[in-house]
Amino acid sequence: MSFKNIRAIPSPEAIRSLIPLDAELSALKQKNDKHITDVITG
Amino acid sequence: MVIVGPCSADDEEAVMEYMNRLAEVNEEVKDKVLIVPRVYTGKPRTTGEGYKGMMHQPDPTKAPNMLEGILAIRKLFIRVIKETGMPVADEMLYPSNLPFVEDLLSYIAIGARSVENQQHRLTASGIDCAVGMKNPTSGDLTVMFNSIRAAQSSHDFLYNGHEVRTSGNPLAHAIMRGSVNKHGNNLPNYHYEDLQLAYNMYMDGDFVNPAVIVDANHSNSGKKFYEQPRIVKEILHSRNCNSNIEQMVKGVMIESYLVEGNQNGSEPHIYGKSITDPCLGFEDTKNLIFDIAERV
Repeated sequence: MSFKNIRAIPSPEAIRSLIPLDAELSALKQKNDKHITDVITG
Repeated sequence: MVIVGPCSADDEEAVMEYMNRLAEVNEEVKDKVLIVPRVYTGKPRTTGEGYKGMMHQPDPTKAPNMLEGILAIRKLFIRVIKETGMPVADEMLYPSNLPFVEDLLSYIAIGARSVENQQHRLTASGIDCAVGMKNPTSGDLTVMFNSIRAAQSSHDFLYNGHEVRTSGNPLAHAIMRGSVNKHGNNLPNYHYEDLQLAYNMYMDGDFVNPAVIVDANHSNSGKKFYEQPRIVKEILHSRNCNSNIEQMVKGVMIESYLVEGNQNGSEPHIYGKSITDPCLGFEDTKNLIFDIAERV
């Protein structure tokens, strides 16, 4: 194997906690998802 | 639905200026058109050379740093949601990177070079949001429909350090982007007959939510970015001619940035101009979106 480790990457959970999506924006994102779902299923 | 934005999100400030201007357009058309900004942070490169996107290089002039890249794209996606209120679309170039950003994406595209890959198809089957599967560069629509079938089905596989089972994604759908033949010639697939063929293939298969997004750039325009408005208008005309096509074609994808065209790095950098594929400029994009809103 010729892979050289450059740097370790934190887990996705750790990365998400470093730069989190707050509850208000998460709710907005869910609303946007619904709009797109409505277009695809409509 | 209009999925629109730069070929690659290469510069946070230029991208955010673009997104905030797009949000102003969105305010004027939101009752008729759903705008979904493209914030593409990973770029597939045919030979592996060249700029691979913000995920690899948050600063295109510096060496790759993927940890900084992951942090940069999370920050960028959140800025788009917070400052514009709009959803975020990105391409899933690396399924293994999805867990870092899956909570932020509202639309995911699987690219022409990835759509035949099993890991992409199976990962798409577990995603909660809409996933568009592009036709491969060869143009074989059977490959695209096989990928949609796979994404709409349940699978067991390895993902993010676990053996997982997915439920299948009923929002997996087609993106038609044209193709390239063995001579390297671009062959569009946005014409009426192409859309009719896609409709027939949807009807012949066991799919839910038959839906097509037409990519107006790439091999549909032959990367002639300025052709995108004409192509979009032809697609809208085809919708008006056939109720089946109208029902199936849910939207278009447009590559657009602040400044039209692209730059290759050999001249001084132009802010807001693509460093990958050529894009429509913002004013032409704005006019096109207004035109779409009038026609639908």
